[in-house]
Amino acid sequence: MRSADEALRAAYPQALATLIRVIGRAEQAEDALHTAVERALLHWQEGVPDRPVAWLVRVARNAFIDRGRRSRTERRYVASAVVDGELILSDDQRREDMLALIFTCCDPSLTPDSQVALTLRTVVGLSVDEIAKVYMVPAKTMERRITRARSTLRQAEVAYAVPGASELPERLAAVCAVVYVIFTDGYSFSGAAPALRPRLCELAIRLGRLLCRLFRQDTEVSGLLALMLLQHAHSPARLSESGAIVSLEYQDRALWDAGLIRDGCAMVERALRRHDLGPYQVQAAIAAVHAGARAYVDTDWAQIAELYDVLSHFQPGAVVLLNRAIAVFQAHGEARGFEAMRALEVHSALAGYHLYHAAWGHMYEQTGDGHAAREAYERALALADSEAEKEELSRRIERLNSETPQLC
Amino acid sequence: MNYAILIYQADGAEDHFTAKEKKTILEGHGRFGDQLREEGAFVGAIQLSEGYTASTVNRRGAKISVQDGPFSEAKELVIGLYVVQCDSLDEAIAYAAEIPNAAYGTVEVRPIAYARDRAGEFEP
Repeated sequence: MRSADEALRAAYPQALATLIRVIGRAEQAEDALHTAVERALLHWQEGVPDRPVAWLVRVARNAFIDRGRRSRTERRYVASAVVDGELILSDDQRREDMLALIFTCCDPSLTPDSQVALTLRTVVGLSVDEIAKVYMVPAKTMERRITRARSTLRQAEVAYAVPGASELPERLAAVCAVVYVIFTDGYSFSGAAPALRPRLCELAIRLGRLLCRLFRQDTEVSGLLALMLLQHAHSPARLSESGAIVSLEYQDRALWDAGLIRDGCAMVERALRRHDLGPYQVQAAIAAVHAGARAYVDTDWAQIAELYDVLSHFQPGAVVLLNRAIAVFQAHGEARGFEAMRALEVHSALAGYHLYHAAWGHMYEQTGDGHAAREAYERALALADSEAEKEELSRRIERLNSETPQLC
Repeated sequence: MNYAILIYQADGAEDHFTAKEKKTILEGHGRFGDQLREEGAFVGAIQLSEGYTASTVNRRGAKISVQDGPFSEAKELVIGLYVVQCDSLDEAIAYAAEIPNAAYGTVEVRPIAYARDRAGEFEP
């Protein structure tokens, strides 16, 4: 038997999406659903109902009507959405409700922080306390952020609705961006509470799966999910026992999650054959090339360099070009690698980016210039902000110190 | 007689399983496979990738259409199957009920009409 908790978690977003349409106001829908959830916690212990979403919507709707603060017409409107206490909900209607909820949470009138908070609250169904814990801020702060986001939506008169066809590609790209931010918050080494990072990645993947089901033919939605699956597959190998970051080169590939890699590669392959390329697909393809190498030395760097070339057309930023330069160095050697790195000097922002200096350090180390490598790693160390990365850089410097004789 | 035991699960159900539930299911399959082998009933087993990895193909005349995602709009998808050799339907049903997914989704028992593998035909 499914546990009541899990069934509730699974049913919550769809029930909320439907209630917002039926009741018309997000806060009132959420209040009513809150009442229904409390009752479910009491009643579902003996057995989860066959249709948990319909159960929640019915109880919440009744609670809303019982409050008696609604005008008679509103009550009639709400009641008319339900026939004989049994919800008539087609699959199309469910999809429409869910889409409206997702697009509204990622509305362009909201700041990225608010989009993330609201999506985790309403689409994923985390409580305010849970979100606050993940982002290591006081619950009150998170509560305020969500309340403010809701009032922004109200003031901008954003309707809970699916954008029209002309707006859709741009709005869907914004939704994908929010999902990927949630994923990278979990994947990076700063921002989220360490113990909760894997959970954040899993929630983002869950959102990605939901988007894939809602937008079956969208290659970028597939690319996004593939990218997250392939990156998440590395998780078991990314941290050493002492908590230091283990770079791709030194990861034990036997620890990678073979199931996630299999599904991720299958999705990239399927998306690419549609010839409707986008940045998530290219990044997923890069991840798939890494996943296909049995050992770091077997990596097909020439292909990765080409893919970064393609990616730079979609994302012309310095970080993509830096990654391209690293791949060029690995694929074609010192001369072309250094040339590609020097071409980056026009991007002044890179001077303050620790991974730029770490890349120089790695290249000098590989070409046998221990002195220059140490200097570059030390610059990177001074700029790095996460403990895991600092530890890894210190380790490299120590290794160089022990390998190269000190000539003073 | 060989029977296929098809395992159906709600599309997306895996998102809502807890780590403990996933572990229970995985270990359950391990034990179930062992049991089948011990009792001489094991013929084969297949686990499919997630439904969202599927491609759906039609050919109408010369026109081939490919859709991303699983064919069925049904809420439950086939996620894998066992082939078991049994003396009776009762026995196959008893095996089907042992499959851990029977507690979460649905399993379906179907007699196999014809089968062959690389080694040749095997008795259905």
